[in-house]
Amino acid sequence: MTHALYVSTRKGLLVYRRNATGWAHYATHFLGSPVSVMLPGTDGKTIVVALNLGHFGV
Amino acid sequence: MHRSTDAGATWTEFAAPQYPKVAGGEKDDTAPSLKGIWSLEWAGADRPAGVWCGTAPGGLFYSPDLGDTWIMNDALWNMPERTKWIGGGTEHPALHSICVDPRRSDRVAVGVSCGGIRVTEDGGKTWGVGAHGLRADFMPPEMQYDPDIQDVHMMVQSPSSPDVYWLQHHNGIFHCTDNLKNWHEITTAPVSKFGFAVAVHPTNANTAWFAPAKKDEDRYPVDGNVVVQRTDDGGKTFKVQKNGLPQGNAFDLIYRHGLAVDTTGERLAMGSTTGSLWTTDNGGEAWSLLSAHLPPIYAVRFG
Repeated sequence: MTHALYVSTRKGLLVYRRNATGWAHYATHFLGSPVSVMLPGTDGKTIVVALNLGHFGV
Repeated sequence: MHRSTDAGATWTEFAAPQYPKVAGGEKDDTAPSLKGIWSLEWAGADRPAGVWCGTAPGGLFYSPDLGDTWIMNDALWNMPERTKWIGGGTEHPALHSICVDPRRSDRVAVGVSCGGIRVTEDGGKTWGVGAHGLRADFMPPEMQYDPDIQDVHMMVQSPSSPDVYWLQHHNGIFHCTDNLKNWHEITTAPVSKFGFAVAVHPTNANTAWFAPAKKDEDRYPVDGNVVVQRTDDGGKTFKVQKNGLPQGNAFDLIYRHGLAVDTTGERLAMGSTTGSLWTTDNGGEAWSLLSAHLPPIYAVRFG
């Protein structure tokens, strides 16, 4: 079962969940930080992420 | 690195994998060190806290405990053939694709840019070649089929027919139906054979999606049109999916982890370098823009 859609970006990890009309933004984690990769579990609770905090450029 | 076990309500920080010190010590410039984390995958249903981690400059790590401890896979790192690996557009080789066999978690295949494919049958104690048949046409003729220099962009394994793998290579699209014994080049993609991302249908191994770009030195959509190439017959033919995607003057590039399909095979998500995020509920027949204003997107996944 799909619980959420996870999106790794240069400025954080965004989480979307389904509602009656489709996907809706639910949460943002590590705002401003490059999230290189993430690994959500099938339990809907576990998430592993790797940040790449090498510098503070664009 | 961080993990949450309560859907993001709280996070626990833990140490990233570290390369072991070598004879020269920390001040030895030749000592390998972590240059980036390129992939994370669960290690199988029988290892609920097990995580594989692929890195640059090519090391593979395993954690049995959600990242509290990391164990470098020495067998892969110490292969003599690893010295042939090179960076693919980056300074260091990157281990970006990890396929844990759904039939048996001891069987793991990894894809490296540029280092081909290695596969273990014994949980990482030994590694065999999984890249026979891949072709690198940018190499001298005598090296084009060398399995250890292939520039794998992304490899996925069919969950329902695990002998089947799909692969986006720097050089084109490849398909394997015999459990990594041989790859076959697919030349029927109508828009472009170049790209990074690939996703395979969860219950139909003949169905796969590719996100094309123009070519190596022109990393943008062909004619500025964002499309997805979908095959339903093992690569014999492709449909070009563009409904809901920008047509004209678009510069969105889809990174290798920027395309994902959920367990139904109907819902997909695709994120681009220019911060566009699209989803579909019907296998790509129609896409919806979820946001056009995100930062560059590295990866999308359903969970």
